[in-house]
Amino acid sequence: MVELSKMKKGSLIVWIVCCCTATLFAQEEKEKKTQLNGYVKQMGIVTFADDLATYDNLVHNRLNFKWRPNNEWTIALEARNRLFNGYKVENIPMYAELLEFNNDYLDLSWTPIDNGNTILHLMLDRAYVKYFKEQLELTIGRQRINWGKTLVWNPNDLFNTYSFFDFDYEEMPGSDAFRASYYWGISSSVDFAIKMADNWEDFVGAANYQFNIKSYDIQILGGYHKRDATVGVGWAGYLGQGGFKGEASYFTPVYKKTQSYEAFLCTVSYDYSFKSSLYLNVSAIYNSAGEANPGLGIVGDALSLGLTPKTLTSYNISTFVQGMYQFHPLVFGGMSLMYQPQDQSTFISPVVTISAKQNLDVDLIGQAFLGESNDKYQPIYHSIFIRGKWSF
Amino acid sequence: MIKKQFLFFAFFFCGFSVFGQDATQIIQSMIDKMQGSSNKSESIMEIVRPEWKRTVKMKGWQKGDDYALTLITAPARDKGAAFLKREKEIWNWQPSIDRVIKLPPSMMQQSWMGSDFTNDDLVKQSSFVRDFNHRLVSDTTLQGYDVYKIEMIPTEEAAVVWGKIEMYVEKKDYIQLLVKFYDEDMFLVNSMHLSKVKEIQGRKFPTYMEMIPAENPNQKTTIEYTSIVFDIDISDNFFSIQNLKRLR
Repeated sequence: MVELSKMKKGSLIVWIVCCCTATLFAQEEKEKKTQLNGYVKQMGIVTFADDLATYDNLVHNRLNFKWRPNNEWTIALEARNRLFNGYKVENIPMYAELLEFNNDYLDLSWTPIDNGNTILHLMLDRAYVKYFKEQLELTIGRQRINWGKTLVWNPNDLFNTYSFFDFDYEEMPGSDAFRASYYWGISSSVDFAIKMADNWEDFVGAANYQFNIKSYDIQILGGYHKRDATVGVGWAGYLGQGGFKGEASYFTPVYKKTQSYEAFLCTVSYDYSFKSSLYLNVSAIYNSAGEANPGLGIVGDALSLGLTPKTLTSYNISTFVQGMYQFHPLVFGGMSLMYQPQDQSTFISPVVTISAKQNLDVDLIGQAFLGESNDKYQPIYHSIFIRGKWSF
Repeated sequence: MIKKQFLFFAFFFCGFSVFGQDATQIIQSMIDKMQGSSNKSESIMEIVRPEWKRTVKMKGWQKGDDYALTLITAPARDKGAAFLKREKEIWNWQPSIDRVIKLPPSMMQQSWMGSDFTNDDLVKQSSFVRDFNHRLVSDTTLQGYDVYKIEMIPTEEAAVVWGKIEMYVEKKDYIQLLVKFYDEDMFLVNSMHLSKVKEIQGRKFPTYMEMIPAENPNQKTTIEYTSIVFDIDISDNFFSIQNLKRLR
């Protein structure tokens, strides 16, 4: 059953101790020095591809624990625990190894069950110590360093690239890193961050200067990113009553050109909220290193592992429209559409979120990919997700 | 005879004074009582429908008309999220993803967390003076108080969604007791009832607000202040991105 020999027993003990400590500390919540919250999600996934409908099930638990012994220190541990069953577990070889594919230096994940029918995957995706005093903030450990400004694609987000398709990972991945931030005035700051690595291929070190001019939040960043030198600029401001945001990043190889490649990515977006509560977002991205007709197309982008800011889209150009609407105080939903003009490939994702009870949400989500397949433009792959989320 | 005429004149003059520019002063005094120069509060918002109810708990800091910080403390799903408003700029902090999201100004017209309050309703009382012409319409009574009924018509340049607002203000302590919001066709859209008047730091403050849509009188959103402190010593710099991330 469980291949305990493969499992890192010591690591698991550390993980269990962390969770137990979190629970114990949470009992003292009255003092507000500790905080424990999280959720349990149950998601059923029906996937249709090649005349075959398959079912996958995912039970997902998250525990967020924070301990603030005083005003200056914060210690955070957050666990993401997932139990997988169904078609993918049974039919995709090495599926557990795919789950292990991540951005991390330290190994803080464990697979106590992997028996061909069920996979239990546990990981700590945040584990950091933060110190702050007046304008200075220092953070070490697994953390999220989020330099993105826009909703869909983030060429400025050098440390932990997230995929828009991966909607079930709301917290988004973190990085094993050290970060120093210094703030002044209303919205000015300098961030300096380095990501742990034992080779130059994985190392990231960069600085980001943020300031505000005439209602525009602007950032200028630069540094080293996985064999490339990079510079970038990002902004979030207003155009009329709407939001105008964008990010641009340029990457050029530091060493031999054979080890990396040059890329310029630029994304812009405009969002507007109507009085009726209809929210619209229109975005586009240009990637100089993208192709007009990438081999795996839009499905390749959605399934891509090891996403980096250079591979946010494998196309030259991709466009995006999202409309969200509050149908009822308890029902929120809408549609996202990603369209690649070069080969007309399209990604469509309708979403409905229902607040069933105070702390229980039910989500219905669809993802459909349309494009060229077997010399024919057709639906390639689509999935329906039904998710219940209980937050505590 | 002359004396009588003078009295008549004096009465008329005073009447004009109250009915004219003083209506603006009444609104200004009311806002001063409601907001202070600054305040810090804890409140519970309930969205109430015949079949269901949802609760949101908040902590808030406000200074003058232009600066506000709000931290959501419940429900569990949204806990920790925070909002910063500085003049026309609004930012939202999402701690779970380490992200400050700048919100478009148009979002101010939207419902606040699915409630019957818009974002504007909660942070833009200020514009009650700046964006409207005020006229004292009548004296009346409400909840046992003597009140002024003041009609407020937006100025031409004001970016206000209402066609008219009727404000009912208690005469002695300038307690805000009722606000009626009309659309541009002068149809009643929402009524905001204020009650549970408590004495806080020497001022009489209504600690309970009910926003009731005219079309659906069996629906409402209520906000109850569980604590509020006025005129706290707080600098403009408190309302910063750095603090937005550190609120608790």
